[in-house]
Amino acid sequence: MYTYCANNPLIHIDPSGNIYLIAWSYGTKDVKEYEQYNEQYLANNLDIDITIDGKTDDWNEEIWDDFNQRSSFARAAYTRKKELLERGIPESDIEVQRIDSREDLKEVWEKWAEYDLVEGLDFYSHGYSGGPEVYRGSGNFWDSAQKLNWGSTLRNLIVNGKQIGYVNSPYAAFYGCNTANGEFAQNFADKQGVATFAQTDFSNFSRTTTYRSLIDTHDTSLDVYLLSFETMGLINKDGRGKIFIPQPK
Amino acid sequence: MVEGRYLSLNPNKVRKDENVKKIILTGITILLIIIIMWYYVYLLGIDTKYAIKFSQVFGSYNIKRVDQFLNKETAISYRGITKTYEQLRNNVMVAFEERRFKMSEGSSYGNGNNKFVNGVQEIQIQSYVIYDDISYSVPITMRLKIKGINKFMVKSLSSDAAFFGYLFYRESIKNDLD
Repeated sequence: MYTYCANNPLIHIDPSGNIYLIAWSYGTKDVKEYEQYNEQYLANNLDIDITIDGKTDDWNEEIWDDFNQRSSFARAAYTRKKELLERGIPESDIEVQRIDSREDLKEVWEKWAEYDLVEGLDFYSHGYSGGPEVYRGSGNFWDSAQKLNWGSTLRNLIVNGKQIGYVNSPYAAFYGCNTANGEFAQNFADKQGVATFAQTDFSNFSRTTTYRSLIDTHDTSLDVYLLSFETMGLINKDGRGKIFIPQPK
Repeated sequence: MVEGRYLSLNPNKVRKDENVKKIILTGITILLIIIIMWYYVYLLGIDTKYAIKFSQVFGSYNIKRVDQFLNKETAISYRGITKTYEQLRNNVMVAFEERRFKMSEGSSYGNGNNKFVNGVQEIQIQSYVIYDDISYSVPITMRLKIKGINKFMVKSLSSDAAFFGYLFYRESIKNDLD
């Protein structure tokens, strides 16, 4: 009896204590759009006067709380958390982190590097072929990102004594635009020794993962995904993205 | 006599002619609907198209492509100063010659609200540049003017990002491009 996984070990996961990291960031464009959208709402309900300038310096806690719920990147991140919870991962093993700057990214990553076992990383942000970008740019962070203690080495998938592929756990997934189109994803996979997913085209928020279905922006509902839809910008053919396997040195 | 002439017409032929007319009218109507729908979808995507084009054009280091993308009178605003592209063209050429930055295809994207107010749509562009091997965010606001049915011109570009100042105004860049 697999009591810990509702007698279904294929769907659910043993709560081993390994941590799943989910990070999200945003761009100046998103900040400005949020400020524009909420101008009236913020003025009337939050009793705060903010400038529509794409800068967060004048935001207070109430605004941040609201943004944490309305940002599409946050909604995608919390949708992922929901998925992991549904797969049987205990809430205490999932960490969702908002990244507000490159300095913030550095600090958070240093903290993550101290964790014993990281089983997965989902990174929701803008991006391009050079890699994922946090608010106001990632600088050269990705060139020198510390190695995380990934939960296990990449496992060979062996069937009848023959290696037919890889079991992609642990994993790192980057959902920003075009993150698969440069050297970033392969370099990350090699340096971190982890199967890495990245996007082969411009990413879009969608209600579903297989075909692109528009979301209500600035809403607070979940079931929001950020993926690239390769076929005519409508159909996603590669799931969480193109996979990059660490190459032997 | 006139009535007689009409009465003498073959009713099957009259019906056939009417059917042909109906088919032609239906065809024209469908064609018109398709053209209107195509135009609507085309207009919906124009903001993204121009946002993506920004990195393609400036990443090419080709001033001729910039000339096609912008107009002489395109207003370029940076931290409260506004000049036309014509006045700043030489600065862009110098930045292209220096090649201290890289802007890869796909490193700019964004959208407007799909509405042309007084013929102008404001587009928020999120773009990224690598300058001296470090990547930075360069948020840009573009105002796109529609001229006629399918002609567009970039009316203005504005940004407070230091790279934008470097590209158009020869502003020196210190440690932090923000």
